[in-house]
Amino acid sequence: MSEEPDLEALRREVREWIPKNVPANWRERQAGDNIEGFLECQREWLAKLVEAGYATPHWEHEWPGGGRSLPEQVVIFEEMARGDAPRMSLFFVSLYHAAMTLQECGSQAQKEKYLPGILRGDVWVQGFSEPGAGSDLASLKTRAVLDGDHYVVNGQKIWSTLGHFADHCLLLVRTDPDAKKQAGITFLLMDMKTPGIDVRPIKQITGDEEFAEMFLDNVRIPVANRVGEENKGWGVAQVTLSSERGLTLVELVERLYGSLWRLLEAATKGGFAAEALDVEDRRRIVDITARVEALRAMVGEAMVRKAAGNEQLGDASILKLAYARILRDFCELGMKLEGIGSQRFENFVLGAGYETSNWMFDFMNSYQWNIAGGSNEIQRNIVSERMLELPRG
Amino acid sequence: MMDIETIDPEELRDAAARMLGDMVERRAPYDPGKSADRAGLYGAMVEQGWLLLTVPAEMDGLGQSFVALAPIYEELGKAISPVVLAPSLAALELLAFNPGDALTELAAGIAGGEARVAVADQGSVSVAGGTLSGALTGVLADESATHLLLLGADGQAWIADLSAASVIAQDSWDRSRILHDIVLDGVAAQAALAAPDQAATGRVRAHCDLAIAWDNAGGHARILDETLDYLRTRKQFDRAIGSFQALKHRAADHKVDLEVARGAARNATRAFAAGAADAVTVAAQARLVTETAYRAMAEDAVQLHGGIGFTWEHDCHLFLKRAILNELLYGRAGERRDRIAPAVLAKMAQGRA
Ligand SMILES: Cc1cc2nc3c(=O)[nH]c(=O)nc-3n(C[C@H](O)[C@H](O)[C@H](O)COP(=O)(O)OP(=O)(O)OC[C@H]3O[C@@H](n4cnc5c(N)ncnc54)[C@H](O)[C@@H]3O)c2cc1C
Repeated sequence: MSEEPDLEALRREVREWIPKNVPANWRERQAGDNIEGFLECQREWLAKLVEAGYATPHWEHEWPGGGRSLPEQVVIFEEMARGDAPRMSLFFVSLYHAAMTLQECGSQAQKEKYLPGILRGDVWVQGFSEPGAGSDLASLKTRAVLDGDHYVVNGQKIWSTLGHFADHCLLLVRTDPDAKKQAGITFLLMDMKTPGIDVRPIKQITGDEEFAEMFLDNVRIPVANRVGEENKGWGVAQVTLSSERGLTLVELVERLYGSLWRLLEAATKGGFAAEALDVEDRRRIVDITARVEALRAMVGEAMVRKAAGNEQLGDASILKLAYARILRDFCELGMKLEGIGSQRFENFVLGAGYETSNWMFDFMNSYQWNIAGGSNEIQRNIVSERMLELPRG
Repeated sequence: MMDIETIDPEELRDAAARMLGDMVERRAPYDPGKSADRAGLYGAMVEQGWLLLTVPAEMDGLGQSFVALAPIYEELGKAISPVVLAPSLAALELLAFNPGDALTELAAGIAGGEARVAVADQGSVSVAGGTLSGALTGVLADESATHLLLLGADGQAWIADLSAASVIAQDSWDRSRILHDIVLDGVAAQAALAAPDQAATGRVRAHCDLAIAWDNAGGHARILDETLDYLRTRKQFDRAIGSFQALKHRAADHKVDLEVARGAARNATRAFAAGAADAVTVAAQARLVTETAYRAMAEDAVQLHGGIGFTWEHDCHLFLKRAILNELLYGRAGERRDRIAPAVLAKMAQGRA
């Protein structure tokens, strides 16, 4: 597709930059049994991206790399996916959720204190969900009580992605237990070295320890670390949750599109002899590629609408539901095409996205898209009630 | 009069929606004592200039691409139009290749509204000495079709005058469409192309695929809307049935599928209009995505309406029958998948590099 000349120029620039800068052997270094290698490789990658300005295109323009338009951000993500660069998994929350929350809602002092750290590789974790508060996030119970110029926090957070590597935490706490759910929540920035924090990794269904639970026992957080006003944290949290502006799906769908060949690899035992394919397998491959093509077109169109300020209510939910389903079907097909071979455990790669040709791992991993960040059921509620205007139950 | 350079597809859509809204009584083919006024509707389409849209400017046409037709095909699907335009318009695709005189003449007839085409794959029809012999079944056309465009396996396309053939209209389940049995007994035919060209016949098939894809997307959108209306208003257990989560989630899923289907159809339309190398494949893929989604929606519409949805009186079955017929036109889904599989696999293998 033809595009604006400056977008094309950026595309060429990124395309040339990637092969020269992607950490060598990153797939081996980010192997699932080599956490140190993963961390090191991710830090190296972030440093390169920051230096080139590709880590922060979405930041305000006074920051290095910042001030790029949404279409430019899309180009960068597309090229990263196309160039098979590692995902910025370790730093995604810092670069997007933390940085955008600070830029939109933080004080000048908070921005100056934290944003440079993010560029240097501070890891942030999103401490929103609790054992009793998932889909119904506003029912969270972790309690913060004011004591002089500190909040004293007690409670438990769970499913906190990369919490065990984090330097800082975006924390939602309850400051007014008597107000209506959403009206008693405050948004805090928590230094993970503060006494009283106990982080325990949780193994996921893949065997990977990607998320963690965090127990908070009389953790003292300075009032200066509050973002926005007391009891106004729900609004700040909405900013956090919408901070990636759909770019994650741009990247992931592009990666999915660029991974279609893996089905052929699975179906032909790596021989890529398409003639040898079973008729039914071939038909299934045709169907999934058709859906991936459609999804890619949809994401592209949605980003054009968003850039033009024409985003429609429910757009994001539709894309997430479509992606979650198509990704799962893609992984399932790859697994079935590979057959019994897919059932032999093989070490997996971290931060490589959802298509690694380790089909059973990919299939298991794909479930998270149906749960995290608003489950399928919650997205269906949004689509049916807000978009299709069906009555609330 | 429409301006050659600047036809806004959305204006065409509005005009089409208005015209079809006025003229199509979608129940007419189903209700006793009524029938669809196909001739009147076709005349209105000719008058609106739809048959001229993609005729090249050199032939006094409007020189538009498929982008102009897409909203019309979508509206035809929404309205469950009893008139089928796609075969005639698909025949015009051949003009971009190396047309013989017979084709140019046919195209002029199509543009003027006198000639109407039925498209069929060669199947078991034999071509010998400029004549066609054999039988075709389930050929989609309106009662006033004048010509057969037979797509040969070798990339040649043959034009035959249907008045020289035996053409018998069948009663179809989908009464908005008429299927025909055609028997050709040494019927004279003329080559449409100066030389056989698979790209040319492929484009005719792709036009048909894409027209059906939009018909699917349109029908899907309309029956989803009508089902949503029912879910909002029908009450059981003292509440609107649309407030039951089990039902509203199904509606949400159909909406997601519709958006994926539209994404596929728009993507294919862009590729087809731009003459992209993979346009034929993408069009076939768009049809596959839209037909699966439409069928699922139309089936579920019956279920979500309960007893009324199972009646002849109610309109759910109009959509279901159209969705099923659309799936079976011009080759079964499996065969259509097989046809594009080599191209799809070749593209995938390239992606590895
Ligand atoms: C891989 C992964 C990473 C995550 N990372 C983070 C993170 O970094 N930080 C963080 O704060 N959280 C994180 N989460 C948490 C995630 O946001 C929650 O898991 C999610 O919101 C669902 O909450 P829950 O697990 O409590 O499930 P529940 O809300 O208890 O849901 C259980 C089931 O009930 C359904 N359900 C709930 N409410 C309704 C309803 N109203 N209608 C219909 N069905 C309903 C759900 O769809 C689900 O099927 C992560 C989760 C996963 C899986």
